[in-house]
Amino acid sequence: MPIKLQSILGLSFLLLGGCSQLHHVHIGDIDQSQGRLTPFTIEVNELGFDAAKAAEIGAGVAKSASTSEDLEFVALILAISNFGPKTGNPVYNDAYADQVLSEVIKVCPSKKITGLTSVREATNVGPVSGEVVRIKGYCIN
Amino acid sequence: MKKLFSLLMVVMLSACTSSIHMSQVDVGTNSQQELASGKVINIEKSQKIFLGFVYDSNYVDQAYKQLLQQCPNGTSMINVEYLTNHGFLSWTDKIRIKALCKPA
Amino acid sequence: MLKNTILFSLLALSLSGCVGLNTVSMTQIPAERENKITTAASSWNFIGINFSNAFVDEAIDNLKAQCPTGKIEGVYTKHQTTGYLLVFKREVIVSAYCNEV
Repeated sequence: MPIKLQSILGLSFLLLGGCSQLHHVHIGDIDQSQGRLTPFTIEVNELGFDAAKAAEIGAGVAKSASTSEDLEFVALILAISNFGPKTGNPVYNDAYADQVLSEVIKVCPSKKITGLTSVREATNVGPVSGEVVRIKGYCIN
Repeated sequence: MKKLFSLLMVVMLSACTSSIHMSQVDVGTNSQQELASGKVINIEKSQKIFLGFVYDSNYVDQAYKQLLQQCPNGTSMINVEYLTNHGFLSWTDKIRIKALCKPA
Repeated sequence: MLKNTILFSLLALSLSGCVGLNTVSMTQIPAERENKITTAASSWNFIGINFSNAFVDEAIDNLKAQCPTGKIEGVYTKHQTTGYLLVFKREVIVSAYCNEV
């Protein structure tokens, strides 16, 4: 396949890949009997980057065969160095969602919460993504 | 020089990636007192896995048992996080539980 | 001989099943924990092709049957998949407390 066509295909893949992905949803009980509900949202996110996928794309669009081979080798090294199950793209900080509980506890002045929905989602643009944990809920006034 | 730089980049990029699979927060029928005065506890249990061979998920049960012990009066809020730290031909699965224990 | 031994060992390891944890979920834990109830339901498939997730409902029905008049609290759910080469077992393991209101 000519290199230009490969580049166009790679770019199209990157642009078409810019979409939202839902990984997990948990919906809790909603109590509407105790008063008016005010919605709140807490969102934490982290930059996700699939280095192996980036190297593979690089290998596909590389001009020389030797560069392409080198990048394929790099992709292999990265893949075996980052072994394990993945949800979305890997991140370089595993503590980005650590504060969600304390944020939820603090959010309601009335200290009464109901209807918590926990969402694990991502927005992808090729090998780069925003990995998101979003907690939605209601304060009971 | 270029190859050495590339190698360094690869080493840097392969360091310590992680993936958070889920983070769930659940609340019960809470009272103002529980949210204001409850104690937050942190529990973390993990399991190291080589080459994908894993035969149980008992570390999760251990975390749950610890939660039961640390909150004898029950909980009013729980946050469960399940994540994986990636490594060279191996990985570590982790369960992190944060809970607001009900006061006595 | 060595090649066969390695192949046999790998096959034996694969057939003994590799567990993949999908999700873990917990609801509020009650103070009363006298009556613990547990259930598990599973579904087998070939190369991950499934046509129904009804096994989850089976687990819920089992749990409800164990606590017909009480309140089911502190529900701890593990959803895991065990792979035996090309065959997979999807499983939900649930434990909870049955408290009379």
